[in-house]
Amino acid sequence: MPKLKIDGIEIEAKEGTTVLRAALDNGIFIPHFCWQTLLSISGNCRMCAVQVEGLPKLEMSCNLIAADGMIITTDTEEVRKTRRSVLEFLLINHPLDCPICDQAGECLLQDYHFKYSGAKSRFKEKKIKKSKAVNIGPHVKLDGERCILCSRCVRFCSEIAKESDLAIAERGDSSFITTAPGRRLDNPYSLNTVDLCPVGALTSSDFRFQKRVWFLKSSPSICPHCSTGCPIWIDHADGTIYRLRPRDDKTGNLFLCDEGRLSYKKWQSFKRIYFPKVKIWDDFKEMKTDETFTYIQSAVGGYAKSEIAGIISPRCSCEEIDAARSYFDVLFRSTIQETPFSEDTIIRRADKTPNNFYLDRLNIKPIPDNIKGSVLIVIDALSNDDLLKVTNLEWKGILQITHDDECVFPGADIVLPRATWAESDGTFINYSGKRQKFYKAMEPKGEVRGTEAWLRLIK
Amino acid sequence: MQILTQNFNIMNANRLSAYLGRDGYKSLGRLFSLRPEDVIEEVKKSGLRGRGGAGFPTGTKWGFVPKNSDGPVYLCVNADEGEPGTFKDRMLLERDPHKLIEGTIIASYAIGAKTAYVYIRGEYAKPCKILSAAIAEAYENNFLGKNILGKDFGLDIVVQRGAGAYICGEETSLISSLEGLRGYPKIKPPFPAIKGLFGRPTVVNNVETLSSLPFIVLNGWEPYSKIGTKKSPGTKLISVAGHVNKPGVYEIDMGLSLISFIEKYAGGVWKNRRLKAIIPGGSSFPVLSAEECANVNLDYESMISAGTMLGSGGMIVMDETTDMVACLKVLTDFYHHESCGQCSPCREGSGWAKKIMDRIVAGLGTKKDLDLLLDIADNMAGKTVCVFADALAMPIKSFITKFRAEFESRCL
Repeated sequence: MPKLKIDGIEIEAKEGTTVLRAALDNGIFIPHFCWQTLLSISGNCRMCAVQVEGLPKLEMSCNLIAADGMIITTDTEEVRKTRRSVLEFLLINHPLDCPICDQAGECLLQDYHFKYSGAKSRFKEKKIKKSKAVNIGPHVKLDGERCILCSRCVRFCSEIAKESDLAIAERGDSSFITTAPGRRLDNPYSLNTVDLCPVGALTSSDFRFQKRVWFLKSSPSICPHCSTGCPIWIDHADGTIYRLRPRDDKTGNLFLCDEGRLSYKKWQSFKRIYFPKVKIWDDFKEMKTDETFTYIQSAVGGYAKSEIAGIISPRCSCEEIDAARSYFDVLFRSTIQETPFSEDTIIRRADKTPNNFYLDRLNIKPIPDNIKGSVLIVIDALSNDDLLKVTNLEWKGILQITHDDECVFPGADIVLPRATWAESDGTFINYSGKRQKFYKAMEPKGEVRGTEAWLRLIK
Repeated sequence: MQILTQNFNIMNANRLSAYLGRDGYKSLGRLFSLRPEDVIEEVKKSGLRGRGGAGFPTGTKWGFVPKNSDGPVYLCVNADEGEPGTFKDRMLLERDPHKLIEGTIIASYAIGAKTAYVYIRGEYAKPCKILSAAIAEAYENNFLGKNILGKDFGLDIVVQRGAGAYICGEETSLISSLEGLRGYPKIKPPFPAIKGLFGRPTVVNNVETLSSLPFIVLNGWEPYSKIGTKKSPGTKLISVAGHVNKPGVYEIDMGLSLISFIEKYAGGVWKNRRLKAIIPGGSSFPVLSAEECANVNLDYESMISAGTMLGSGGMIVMDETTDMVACLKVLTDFYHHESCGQCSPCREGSGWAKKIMDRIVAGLGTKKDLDLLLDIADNMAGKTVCVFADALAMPIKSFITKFRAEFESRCL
């Protein structure tokens, strides 16, 4: 393993690593635009220049293999001048529209300019005009003028998403990012290009103009959209989720699929339930929790435990499942959401629920055809198949704990608002058996409670 | 001495029959009696240096190719002659294509290539036609194809035309272009000799370099190394254009003085005017003022000590009436148009420099703009993947510093 010195700090690098990688791994920051850990090395931005003792010219640390005895300085006058000049070059044709740019606040060009240059531009000529706000795919918009042509998005599409949707056209300072002839940026991973874009050239059509990023709070969590369970950041403000972003948990995956990323919407739709609801005659009536108790009592009270059947969905956390196991003697699982066509070998899995592994391990069975009992308590939702199995029976009372009107099934008598994964702590176990904790990102609104709390209340 | 141009003035020089009558393909007999490593050694000893512009020793370049690598090795013939002022390879392709084919066989044998790609400039339609016909003739007569002359060595030559990008003459972007990718230069390392065309070891050689090989193999390294100077042996084609009486392609022994070349070969500066400046090696290299031209010889070392380079030998001569500001504008326009746009300094710098030059030519420049141009050139040079940025920075710097008064007189 080669030992080298960067800015006087002795570090040990892995065999074959680049200087930039070794520096970053050891907490020494070298500014860079085009380099990204999982993409091939392009070396086009020229921002990561460093001085290597004994070499006449500056070297690009992204393509410099760390060698034993190397002495590297990242802060000589020459390096600083190079950084200033690269930033000046990148900014001469940049529209400088930070006040209306969604990237402001998380823009590398902006950050680096403040940190490494701050110089006023000497450019007095006309800036080059390029296309703006182009819909290059269903989820992504392109602003050609803000683009610094680092080619991260192009490389991501061809190398990671395996779809060469993007390309660079024209040459010189007329170059621009565009979709390849006859294509759109519509691969299942297209929104990663927005994360990868160091500037505001690629923005998410979904998040665009929704919120200034400095108002957002980021909470670590796990994506509940499929059984892969990607680590994510929930970016939220005032109890509303604005976007999901991939989180680096040092296990090598830095990307999210578009469906997972946009899945936050189903947890906060306009049909979200915030108060308990009781069916009086044929209509649901919203009421306070304490008012509900008499109804709950008359619906589910007075029955033996063996008379109460519970159904829990694989979208529930291990903690919710554990609570249900201690509450119910008779417990089955629902079989919601199987869409086998959206599976690939990159991230997405056909099982669109996060926690089937745990239900499998506990040997909780799907709803049998001959399900019996007097009272049915459903936690989360039922699939259409499940519905057929339970609705041909005469239940004395049906209670459902769920988050959204869409999930309420026709026979329910009482509906209690359930806290979503973003509003509670918990654990998912993914398809490979990996246990992953997630944390409460925001306080639930209204009378929303976690499943455990509801089960305790109706005991 | 005539090595490269010896067949230029005979009838049907591009035909195999004429070439065979002039000792054509004779070197192959000796070639196949040598081991490949001996051929590399011969070329190393001959002192032949790359004629494309950089002047890197050819034998040394071949030596970088890993020995006995399992899988193909490729030779690329760089016929993408795009340097402004350079038109020497065109003459070789049109007048003596079989010499290039013979040289290609020699180089391929030395590095172990079974396929050679000729990457020819898109605009060279006629040379391409002539070369392709010559290659067909060579195939028919077993100079190409399997078991050349009954020996255990075969070679295929594939001709690929470029699509009009100057940058594709740079060896790594030539490789990108051949691979069907955008003509972007590749970041080095890895160098082409290790990982080049289709990820395999590759040597890229200029047409003139390869055309010099038959002489070296046929006569041995010694006669060749005795021509020219000690460090720059051999002959060099100079394509001279501009304000001279006899523009054209001339073969000189290395080390000839620049002034005597202009006088004896190019017929002197035209219209009895005085010399103002010469770009000796293609537009990418610094210009020499008339005073500087006086004591310079046409070889690599002398040029470097004069602060410029012999480059491709594309000489542009300018007489006393030349408008240096207009000249630099032509160059900045050219380099702005041809920058591939990969690296930030070159992409943005070339456009910026062009716009400032536009302003100066329009009479709206200031003296401060000249310093700004010099600073832009400074920030571009040596800071990019390939040397294109330097190729623009060097003319900017040399034109403005050497003819500053003329530039200032055009500024506000």
